[in-house]
Order: sequence, then structure tokens, then C-alpha cells
Amino acid sequence: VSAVTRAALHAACAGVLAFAQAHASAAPEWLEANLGGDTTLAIANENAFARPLANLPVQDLRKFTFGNRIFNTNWVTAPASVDAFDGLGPVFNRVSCSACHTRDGRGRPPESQGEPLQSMLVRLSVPGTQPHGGIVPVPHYGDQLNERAIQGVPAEGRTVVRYTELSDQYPDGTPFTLIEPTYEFVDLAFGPLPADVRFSPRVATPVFGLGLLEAVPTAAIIARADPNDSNHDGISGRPNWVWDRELNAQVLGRFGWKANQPSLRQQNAGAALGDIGITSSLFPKENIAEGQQAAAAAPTGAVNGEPELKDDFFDSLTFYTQTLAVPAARGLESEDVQRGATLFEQLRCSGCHVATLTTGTSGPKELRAQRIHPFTDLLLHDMGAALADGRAEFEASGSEWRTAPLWGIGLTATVNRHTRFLHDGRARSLEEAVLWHGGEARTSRSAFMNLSKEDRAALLKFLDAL
Amino acid sequence: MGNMSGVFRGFLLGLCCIALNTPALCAEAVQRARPQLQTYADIAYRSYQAAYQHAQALQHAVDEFIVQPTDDADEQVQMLRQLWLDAHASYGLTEVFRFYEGPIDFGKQTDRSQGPEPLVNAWPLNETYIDQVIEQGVQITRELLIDRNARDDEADVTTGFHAIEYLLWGPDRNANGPGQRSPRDFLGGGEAQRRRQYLQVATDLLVDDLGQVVAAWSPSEHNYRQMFLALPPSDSLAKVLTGLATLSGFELGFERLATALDSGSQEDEQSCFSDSTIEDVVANVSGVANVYFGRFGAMQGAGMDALLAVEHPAINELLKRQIIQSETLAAALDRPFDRTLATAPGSPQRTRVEALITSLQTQTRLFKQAGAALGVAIVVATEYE
Repeated sequence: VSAVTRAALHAACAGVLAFAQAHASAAPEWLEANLGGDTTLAIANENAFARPLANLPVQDLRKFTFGNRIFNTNWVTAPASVDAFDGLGPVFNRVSCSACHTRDGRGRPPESQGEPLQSMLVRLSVPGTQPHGGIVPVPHYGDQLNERAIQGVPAEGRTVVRYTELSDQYPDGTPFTLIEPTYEFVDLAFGPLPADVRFSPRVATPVFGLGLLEAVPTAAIIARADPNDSNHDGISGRPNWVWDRELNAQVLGRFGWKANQPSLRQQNAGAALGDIGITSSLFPKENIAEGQQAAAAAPTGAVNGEPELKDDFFDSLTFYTQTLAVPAARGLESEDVQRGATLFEQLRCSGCHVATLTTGTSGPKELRAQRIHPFTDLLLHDMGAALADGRAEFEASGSEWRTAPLWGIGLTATVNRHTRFLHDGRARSLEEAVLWHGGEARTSRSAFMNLSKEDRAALLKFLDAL
Repeated sequence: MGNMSGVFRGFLLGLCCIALNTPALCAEAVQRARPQLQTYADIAYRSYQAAYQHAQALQHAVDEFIVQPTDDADEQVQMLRQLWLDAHASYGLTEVFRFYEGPIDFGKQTDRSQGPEPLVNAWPLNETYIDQVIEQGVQITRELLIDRNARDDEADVTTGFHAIEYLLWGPDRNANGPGQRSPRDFLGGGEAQRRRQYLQVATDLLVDDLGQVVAAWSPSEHNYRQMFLALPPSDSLAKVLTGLATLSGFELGFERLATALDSGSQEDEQSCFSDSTIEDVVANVSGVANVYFGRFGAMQGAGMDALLAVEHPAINELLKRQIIQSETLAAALDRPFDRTLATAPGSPQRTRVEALITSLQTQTRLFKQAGAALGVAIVVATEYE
């Protein structure tokens, strides 16, 4: 190609590019593959949730892979030959982080009645609040049902989940069914649960992208709060203010189904203790409810005052959970996906599942100043009576839940071999998850139901592309 | 005027790319890489074929053992162990063909379904889970093992090389050597009978899974190889370099070696039952060398070195030296690996492993530089600049 022709082509092409960008489609401006900004990794296989930030420098990779190792550690009963990884229990739910967060993904309820809870647990409390605003644990059981225990110690009990099928139809006559769970607690080792017990079944949440959520400035999150719905859009949005044990202060809650944990450190240390029975410098006391004598007499894995999860292990674990990459969105060139994204906005799904946030200046530097698309506002919203657990936690009422992030959600089947959604995994598909939305999301759900079949499919196709 | 159609837009943008000589699609060097890509496909085929044939040899011996396990069980189990070691070392040479969604990682390219890798070589392995499957008394079938594999926990590995390794050696509680399962564990009825059945089913599955990958790379068929060679060379070259770069620094350097050093735990040793982890390391490093120098056994084809010698001789010289250095360092590692893990930080044994880790990181950085020089995009799990 001659120089003159090249120059002409260059000019023409610049025009074509500008035109193509301006007229590509009417999709929302936020629709882009890099959901996690520069940290996003283009990956769509079984390991899609398990890789480090795309921009993580190589000198940090060793810490990441070691954190991954801690996340996958199967803790064993103390004392064991592998001294560094003993101290399981005495009561616990699973023996590793990855047992519930399989491949760093999402948990599910049992597939058949009678199968033990594998990647899900039940939180417990009785009415009331503690001095710092937290829940009051159930006497003899604590704040969650530990369904397993080490040898010689009784497990606290077992959860049996049953489902009732509900049939309904869309305004256009298309039928659908939902399944509603009920829970029974059996083999209770310390007598029946009190009559006023509050319980909340929760599946394990995906672990990737959490560092980015931690890096969103508090001010940016509370700026979106509208507790009294002063703009009359039917959506309130309230921050959860929770107790930070390290700061000894009330701070914004970000993690967990009710935004009940303030930081990844506290989230991780809390889960290590509550779910696996592993102490840390943040939670140095074993998780043993009063009156559990065999548990109180069990040997501990703590040696010379050092907690079971050593501080450098804890640091690596936290670093790992901060630096798991968000997988890129896929198939955005599809017109259905683009229409679905537009509908997502028109139906005001994006009123709570906020498409774009920007991270601040804290945390690892790769996470800073990133324009991200988590599809959450990290605020609490009333989701209606059908989804309510009736178990308040700090500021969150019994019917409020934190807006769940939607990035990566279309890869759940690929990574975790299931499509169970919502806090208790009752929804068997993203469509069912939408249909369960009530409370502040009622108007959006109705609008979804009133869409044409094709538009409903487009909206779901958009979610699958995330 | 409304929206521009996607096809038309793509066409115009494609024209522009060619006109403007965008490196990713149009670099001449990349066009000249066709012999290298052909050689790469040949090495992939021969490597998987060798692993497959070794696995078949194990399969035949297992079949004989299952029929007649009494007379000389000691000798038979010894032979099975040697056949396993040969097969696994041979598989280690193929791992350079991972990490870019090729046939080992992805089954059908069309639906992006999972390939056989998690069934073939997953670890660490929770051995009590396999014991439970054997103790439960349920019929041990291929479907059962696949269904149970890493279902609720990644460590609940029921299939592949390391499940078979555990069956053959048992747990390694021996500081100076491998696991010492008694051949008697395979003799008689009850659990022993189910252990034999497990061994047979798991070996058959392994052979079939490897066969599937061999078929995907075999010449002149309607398969992955054909698709790979028909791709724009920049795309297939990106896959080649991604495999080389990811296996070197990320997978072998960090995931397999550094993590084990940092935890000091035998659990982090790949072939912990047979104490052959160093053989795995040597095989991975050799697999990288095979691809870079374009060779396999007696076969010598067009290597990446020949391509880079023309396009970027300086990077080629550095890469050649680094790959050879990694091979030398791997060969000098102390056996068994678990004894190194038991040494204190700073021990000479650990220092030798650290030297290899450093060499592998440099190697990955150089592969990324090679990619940049050729104008192809390499996706390694992280930044290597």
C-alpha cells in the first residue's frame, strides 16, 4: 500500500471507528467486558473464579498462591503430625474454606433431602442485641449450627431442608414453578432450640472481586443510601453499621448476605472460627458454646499462645481473598445481551444492582482507582416477606439483604456445576431468582413479568453474559 | 441512520486493521510461524500419544493383576508401580499444552465444556475420601468416580494418576521413601476386591481420557489440531506462548514449588505417595524445552528458537540459556522432595529449589517479551513485566 493510500485509509478508518463506536448499539454505556477494570481476567472455564488479578505484579504472586494453599487447607484434629495445620473444631461445618467456596465459587443447598449441608450453613440467634449491636447467640448452640465435630465431641445437630412447589404464570400465560424451603433441625445434641430462635440459612458466597468491593470508599456507598426513600422511587437502601473488632469502632458493613462484616480480615477470621473452628489473632477464643463439655475439653491446635491460624498465614489468606480476579463478561456483541442490558436499566434493576462504582485509594495498589461493574450498591434493601429470615443483624432487619453482586454470575454452572441462587439457594435459575424479588424490588419484578418472552430471555441472557 | 450491523462493522474494522498493519493480526513474523505451529502440533500429538501408550501398558498389567493377583503379588505390584512412574513422567511432558483452553482443559471447543484434565491429574488428594468410597461397599463404576470427583471439595479427588498412585503406594509415612502399601491390600474379597476394582476402573478411565486428547491432536482428522492450524497464526502462536509462560513461572514455579516450600507440608507435594515429585518437575521443565526447541525424542522440527533467532535474536539467546539452566537446576534437585520440605528455611536443599523458581520466573518474563516482540497477546495469570 502506498504512503498516500495509507494516509487516506488512515483518515477514513478513523472516521469508521468513531462512527462504529457512536452507533454500535443503544446498549448502556457501562456495558463492557472488563467488569473489574484493569484487574479483569478473560477466562471462562472451571477456574474462572480462581485466578489472581490480571495486573497483579509477579512479586506478589507467591503470596497469592500461598494464600490459595491456606484457603484449600484441610484442617485436621490437633495434635497432628502437620503442626501448622491442626486445630480443627472441636465443632465445625467443613474442614476447609474451599469445601464451601468450591473453586472460589458459590455454595448450594443439598441436592436431595437427607444429604448433609455441604456448602451452606444455618446462622442462629435469639432476639435482642449485644452491646456493640451484634446478635445474641442461642444458649448451648452459639451463633450457627455446627453440623460436624471432631471425634469424641457431639455435633450440634443437623438441618433437613424440604421444598414445597409453587406454581404460577406470567401475564402472557407462560407457566413457571418456584420451590420454597422449610427447615427442620434434628439430632440436636443440647436439647431443643428455644421457641424464639431466629435462624438464617446461607449458602457460601463467591470469593472473587472482594478486594475491589473493599476498596470502594465508604462515602461513595453511603452517598447512595436513601433510608427514607426521599426520592420516592420505591427503593430505600440503607448501610449496615457493624462492629469492627480491630478498629474497635462501628464501621460500614460490606461482606456477607447482610453486609454483616466490615473487612475481609474480619470476614475471613470469623469464618475460620465459626465454620472450621480455627482460632486467629482476631478471634483467639475457640468457638465453644457454654455447656458443651466435651468440646471444652478437646485439645487445641494453638501452641505457645500462637493461634491455630498463624498471623503470616492469615495475612496470605486475606491477600488471596483481596486479589482473586473478576472474570470478564462474554458475548457482549450479541444484540440480545445488549438489549438485556438496556432492559436491566429500564426495569430499574440497576437501582440496587448498581452497574458502576469506582474504587478509592486503599488496599493493594492494583485495586485502586478502578472503574468496576459489580452490580451492587453494597446497601441493604427490604426484599419482601417471602425472602425474609426474620433474623436482624446489626442494622439489617429480618427482611433486609445486601444487594448481591452479579459479576461472574453467568459462570456459576461452569465453575460450580449448579445454578442455585439467593441467600438460601432456593432459586434454581437466574429467572427464579428474579421472580423471588419482592419488597423494594416488587416494581422491577412486575415489570420483568410483563415483558415479552423474548425480552425476558434477553434480560436473562445479559445476566448469563456477566 | 440506525445501528450499523455487527457483521458490516466487523468487516470494516477488519479492513482497517489490515490497512493499518495492526501487529496483532498482521505481523509478518507471525505469518512466518506456520512451520513452528505445525511442529508444535506434532509434538503435542507425540507427547500425548506417548503418555497414552504408557497408560495402556499400565492398564494391561492391571488387567492381568486383577485376574491373577495371588502368586507373585509383590512382584506384580512392583511392576505396576514402575509402569505408573513411567506413565506419569510421560504425562508431565504434556503439561506445556495446558492453560489456553486446548483439548486437555476444554472438551469440545464449541460448547466450552470441561476437558479431562481435572479427571487426569488433580491433586492434592484427600486419601481418606478414596478409602471411604472403597469402604462404603457401593459398586465402583466409572460414573461413580466421575460423579464424586472434586464434587463438594476440590481435594476429594477420586480419579486420575494420583488416585491410582494412592492405590498402588498407600500413604507415605516414611521419611526416606515412598508409601509402603502391602500387596496384601489387593488380595482376597471385601475391601481388597473393591480396591482392585477401583484400580481397574480408574486406570481404564485414565486411558480413555488420554485417548480423547490424543484424538484431538492426531493428524488429518476433523479435530482440534485442524482448527488450531487453521487459526490466524497470531492466535495459535499466542496459545503456544501462553502454555510455555504459564507452566514455567506460574504453575510450576509458584503453585507447585514455592507453595510447597512455604507450607513445608507433604500435602503440597504432587506425587507424594510415590515420592516422585522431582520426576514431575523434571518432566515439566523438559516439556517446555521440547516445545521451544521443536523436538520430541528423535524428531526434530521447526522450533520457536528458529523463529525468534530471525525476529529477535537477543531474546532467543536469553531464552535458550534460561531453559537450559532450568533443566540443569531441575536435574540437581534433591530426592525425595518431602525431605527437602522438612528442612529448615535456608537449607541447601531449599536453596536449590529457590534457584529453580527464580530461573522459571525469568523464563516466563522472557516468554512474555518474546510474545511482545512477535506482536501476539499472551495471557499469563498475572503481570510479568
